[in-house]
Order: sequence, then C-alpha cells, then structure tokens
Amino acid sequence: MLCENCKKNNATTYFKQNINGNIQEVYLCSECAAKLDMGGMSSSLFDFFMPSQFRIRAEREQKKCGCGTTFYNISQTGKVGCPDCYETFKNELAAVLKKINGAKHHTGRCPERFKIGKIEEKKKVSAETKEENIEMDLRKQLEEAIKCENFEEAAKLRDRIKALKEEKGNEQQ
Amino acid sequence: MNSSNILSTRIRFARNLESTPFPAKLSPEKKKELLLKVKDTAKSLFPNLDYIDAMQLTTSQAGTLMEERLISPEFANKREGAGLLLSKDKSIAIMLNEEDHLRIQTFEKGYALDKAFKRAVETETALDNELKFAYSKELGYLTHCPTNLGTGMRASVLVHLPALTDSGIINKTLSLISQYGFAVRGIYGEGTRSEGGLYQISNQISIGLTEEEILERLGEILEKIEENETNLRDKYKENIEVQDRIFRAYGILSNARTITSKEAVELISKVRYGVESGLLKLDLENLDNLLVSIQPYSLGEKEPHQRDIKRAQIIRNSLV
Ligand SMILES: [Zn+2]
Ligand SMILES: [Zn+2]
Repeated sequence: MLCENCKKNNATTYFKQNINGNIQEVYLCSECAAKLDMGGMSSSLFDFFMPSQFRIRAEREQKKCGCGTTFYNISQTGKVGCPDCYETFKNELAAVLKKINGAKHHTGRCPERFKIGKIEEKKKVSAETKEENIEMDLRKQLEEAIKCENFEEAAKLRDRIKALKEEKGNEQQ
Repeated sequence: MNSSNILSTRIRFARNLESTPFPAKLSPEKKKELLLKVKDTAKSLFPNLDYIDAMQLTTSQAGTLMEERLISPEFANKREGAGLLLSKDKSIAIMLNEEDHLRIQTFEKGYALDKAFKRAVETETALDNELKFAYSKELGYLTHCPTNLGTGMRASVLVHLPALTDSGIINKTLSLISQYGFAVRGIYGEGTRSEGGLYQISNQISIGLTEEEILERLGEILEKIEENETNLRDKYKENIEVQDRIFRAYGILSNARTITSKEAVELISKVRYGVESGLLKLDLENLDNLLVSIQPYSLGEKEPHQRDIKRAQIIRNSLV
C-alpha cells in the first residue's frame, strides 16, 4: 500500500484522528507520519480542510502580508508565512480555522507580559459587577422602604442610587 | 496507576518570535541571525544546554538523534540553517528553525506528564521573557501550521500494549482514543497493526482547552487503556500459548546471530511483556534502551547484513 499523503513511499504507519467528530484514518509512510506527528500538515492534508471555493477565491486575492505571503500561498502550502499573517488574513482564514479547530478560542497559558492586561481586565469586570450589586441592593432596600411607607428612608435611598448612577456616567465620559 | 507499560513521556511547545517570518520564509542570513540570537539567550539562561549546529551533523549523527526521538525526521533531513540545544542528560531538546523558530521539548522516562510539563513551562517562560513569543489573545501562540495554534502544545506518551494487540481488541481501543481527540500512531507489520504493540498517543486538539485540561484528558484515556490491558493480561496469565510465545522470543533474542530490526522489535516487545507479567527477570529500562540502540543509525553500521549481525550481538550481550 502506498502512503496516502505523498503517494511515493510504502505506507508503514497508520494514523487515526478525530477532528470535531470526523474520524479520519490514513495510512502513511514513516516520513509523512513523523511530520504529522510533529504537528506539521502537508498541503494535501490541508486540502481536506480547504473547500475548492476558497481555493478559487485565494487565487484572485491580491492582498499581501508584510512577509510577502498571499492567501494563495497559504492555500497551496497549508501554512502561513509569519505570525502577522493571522491578522492580515483574519477573514480569509476564518473558514479554514473553523474546519480545523471549530473556531475555538485559546484558553490556555499566555506570556507574562499579557498577564498584566488579563489581571486588570478581571479587576475591571469585578469592580463593575460590584457596582451593579450595590445598585441592586439599594433598589431592593428602596422597594422595601416604599412598601413599609418609610418615605424618609426611601428618599435617602433614591438619592444614593442617583449619585451612584451619576458617578458611573462621569466615569464613562 | 501501574505505568510500567508507558515507556516515555514528551511535552513539546511550538514557539515563534514576534513579527519574524517563519523559517520557511527566512533567508539563510536571517536564519543564521535568529539562530545566534536564540542560542545566546538560551545559553545565558541555561548554561547546561549544548548547542549543536545542525549543518555540522553527519547523516548518521542526525539519524541517531532521530532514533532517540530528540529531533524530528524533518529536522534530520533539512539541516540547513537549523540548530539544536540539547541538555547533557538529553531531557531537554530545543529544535531551532525547524518548522517553527523554536520547538521546546522535554522528555521523561516512563509516565511523567506533570514533571515533563513543569520543566517545559519553566524553560518556555524564561525564554519568552527574553525573546517574546508571538501570541494573540484569540488564537494563542502563533505557529507556522494552523493546526498547532492555541497552546502550541503536544503531549505524547509511548505505550506498550501487547495483550490488547495480540487479542485484536486494540482496534476498539484505538477508536476510543480518537474519539477523545487524541491521535494514535502505530507501526503496523503483517497481521497486527503495530510492530511490537508500541503506540504513540498524543493530543490532536491544541486550542480551546487549557494545557492542564489536555494533560488531564490524556491521563484519563491512559488510565482506561491501562485498565483494559491489565484485565487482558490477568485473563491470559496462565495461558500456555502466551507463555510459550514469550519464552520463545527470549530464546531467539539470547541466541540469534543475525536479526532484522523489525523482528527484534517484535521479540523485545514479547520479552517486555514477559518481564511485566513476572515470567522473566530482566531490567525493563535496559530493554527500552535496547529498542533505540538496535535502530539502524544508532548501530553505526552501514552495510545491512553487518548491521543485522551487530544487532544480534548487542541484544545477546544485553540479555546476559
Ligand atoms: Zn508519504
Ligand atoms: Zn505574514
């Protein structure tokens, strides 16, 4: 049996993988298997992910990344030219990425320098929810006060909610 | 978990420098520049790493490193502008200018996902602080091949499943593994699907899960396989045919005067099975090392027939 990838060498290895529910079974030569094993993917395996309409579109595409890569190059090799290609061809790659990994977002580790941003973001989110919680609390208290006809307390609470809202409004400006 | 049927563990991170074309798009001069930069940084952080210029390697030296699984066949074949940072104990190997700028790999004997991962993270973090790896919030670490996006991590273990292979139940096991999003590599011979019942299992999905989640899943699947393998071994413990195969394998290996690599791997696998079942008293680590040292390049003998003679000799000596 010939290797299903290069169609040159004898297949010695079989490879099974599941990509978003599609189970693929391929027989490969040891060279191609090793490439796949190391995470590489040859252009013919990329074909599997790349419907022909994208290929035709890729041929027409004139856009070039700073590294000199066009989307046509990517469609031919299955690989991008530089890290910035992912931003340059974001829209073009979206459909392919969806096929490869279900358009999932990264949830794993990140470089230290990105962590600071992450922590600040979290703080901001938690501060916002805190403010919302305070407002909710005040509104509940206000309802209670009105129910109990405690109008003096209700007026105070209303002022506090108003002040909180103004504060938020100022921040947003 | 009885992990003696896991021969080795490997963690690999694919990493690239920001705004720098991938090796395939770099001129020879730029490749050299990158090699120097990474090499100097790595050596100042980790003085125990030796730098090997891939172009200085002979085909047989590169082949040996490949058989030791320290470098990929791709790296062994295309050595121009590439480099390797290797720790003295061979537990860290960083390929430079392979498909990605860096392929940081850590190796452990046996089953040691956590340990290998921890060391890989330490190495990667220190390098990232100096080199700044390309990263995007959405896509994670940016790699030459889109299939490695996200964590850029591949965790893999080499497992020995002789009972599952002999009984043919392995096919069921293999499809179970792929349903979990893991890939299995087996080298198939006649009849069976893997030479020696040795399989490499690694994660196929690198995005959408954290590194820890990937490792956890791999651990779960290994536990399941382990359970199936152990149950089968228990079932066949007293089986005279199984015992006969094991002792015959030992007989051939201790007496053969010439042996091919394929036959040797198959028989070593049976002997290994015998050791694990308590039928034979031999050192497992010694057997596992043998699986590497009998490979063509590691033998250091060009002529095939001479190689088979040398292989038989090495095996006899090591089984004494
Ligand atoms: Zn092939
Ligand atoms: Zn680019």
